Amino acid sequence: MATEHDPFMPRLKTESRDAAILLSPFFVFVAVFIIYPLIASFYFTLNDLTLSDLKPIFIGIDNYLELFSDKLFQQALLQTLAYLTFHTAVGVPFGLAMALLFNQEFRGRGFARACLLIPWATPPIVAAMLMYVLLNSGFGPVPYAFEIAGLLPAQFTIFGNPDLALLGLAIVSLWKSCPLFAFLFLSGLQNLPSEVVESARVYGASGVAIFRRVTLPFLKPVLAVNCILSGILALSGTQAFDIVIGITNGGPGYRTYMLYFLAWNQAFPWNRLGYGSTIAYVVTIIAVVFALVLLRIWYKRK
Amino acid sequence: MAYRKRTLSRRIGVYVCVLLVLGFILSPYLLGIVTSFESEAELVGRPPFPFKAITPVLDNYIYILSYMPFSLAFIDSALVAVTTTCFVMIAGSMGAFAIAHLRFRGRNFLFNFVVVVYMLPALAMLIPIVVLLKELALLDTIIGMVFAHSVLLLPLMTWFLVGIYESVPADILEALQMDGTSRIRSLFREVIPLSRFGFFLILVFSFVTSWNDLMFANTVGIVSVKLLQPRILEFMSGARVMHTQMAAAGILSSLPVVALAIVLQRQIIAGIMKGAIK
Repeated sequence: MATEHDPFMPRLKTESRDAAILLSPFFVFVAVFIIYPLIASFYFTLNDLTLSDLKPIFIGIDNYLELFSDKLFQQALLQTLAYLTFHTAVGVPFGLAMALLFNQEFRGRGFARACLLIPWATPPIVAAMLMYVLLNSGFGPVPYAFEIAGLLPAQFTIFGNPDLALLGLAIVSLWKSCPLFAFLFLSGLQNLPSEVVESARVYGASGVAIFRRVTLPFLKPVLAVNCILSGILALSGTQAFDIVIGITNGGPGYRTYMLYFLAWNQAFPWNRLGYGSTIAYVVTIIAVVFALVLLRIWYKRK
Repeated sequence: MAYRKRTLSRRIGVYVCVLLVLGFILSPYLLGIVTSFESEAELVGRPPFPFKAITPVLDNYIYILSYMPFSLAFIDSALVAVTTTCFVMIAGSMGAFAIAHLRFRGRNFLFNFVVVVYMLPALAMLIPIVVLLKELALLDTIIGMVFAHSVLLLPLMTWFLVGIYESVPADILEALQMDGTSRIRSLFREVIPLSRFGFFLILVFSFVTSWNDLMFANTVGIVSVKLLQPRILEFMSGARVMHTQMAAAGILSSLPVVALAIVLQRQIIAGIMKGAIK
């Protein structure tokens, strides 16, 4: 009724008009290149589709049924879970230890902290290449050092060994991930009230007790974020693709295939876009579960 | 006295641990740099480098820089990363500003949508995007690559920018509104300059992500557009170049991003410390 004289009305009107103008480039791009493809990719999972002719053949849920009989898929699933567990169970505590160390007072701390940025900035495929040069059996100095120390046989190969290749890849991943975890832990430690730590020390609490009773509870949210970040990186990040394709390319004998790498191989080199999308959806489901947990923690903090 | 002794041994312990960690972080790089200055014969001859002295040569760099597929890939990667970053920063800033400061229907939905899309595995989007680009005849073109990289970056960077622009006080915008400055103008005139540190951090992050990407680049580019990281992969798996030349290529391709990280370390550290995890 009184809308015409309501001083707020014109303001709200221009507000949504301006919002529409500001959001239009974002929205057009998202609609064409994100929303439409996401819907299309669900349709792909119900079809046989090759990139060469792009004519989908409807096959219903056959792609989903194939997952249950696909031995390579099941192997890749187990290897994914093993990789993810190692990456998180070893990487996150190691990152925490690095952060606690770099939080101490020592000369050159600024330089040391800046070094944490190097693995983060390095292209993952270059990280894979550098670690290959360091660790390969032919001219890598690390296996050679173990060899002359009498700890490993001559020409020992980690990436060519079916039982150890996955572990080798996980170690390469940790080089890329741990400094990032350490960084996030360090940023959490900045907000740790130093009075609390000081008074605990004055009352005679030991370093271990302070860590367990003060620091660790304080870092809990960052710890959760890092665990889930680690899960996402190992499941569907560069750690699950670039490093695998660069060093072992899935071998030896499919022993380093993981779901993400398998999905990409099915879709592109093997030209089965429908089945590749189906496996990508399985990865998506695992990732969404992670994401929901992450969001809950995020909102609880706010 | 005992206290002082304990702190001394503690300090030594700290320095030893710091050296070990720095060794872990830096040794692949240092060895990679050494390898790129070795001759192939020296590299494969036993024992490997730290156990023998080497004579540095520049041949690998001379070869790889004059090797056309490599230098073209370098230029294409720079072109794609710069174009993608510009697009993402403009479209992302406009969208993020609207989400952060304007009231409109669907605002919360849009914010949650951006977060969920960021959580999706990139591959779930890559497969349909490759099909779409093929239908649009944009597969294996620079412009198709820019679109593909924007898919990778836009939701994530918009999400970060919302957090950054939210910290600009609403009073300032209110005052500008009173002065008759349009909202779009105040974004570019006031909001971005006020939050320049955060803006700059996201800009660097976008550039680094686009430059470092392998999966999208290796799938969208097939023959005519080969970016830098797929070239490195090719060097690693094929027999196109020797190991020492491959090392030189790897060092060169990580140079822009690592140099950026080192030069801007202060801003990056300050930015991340301030509020990467909210």
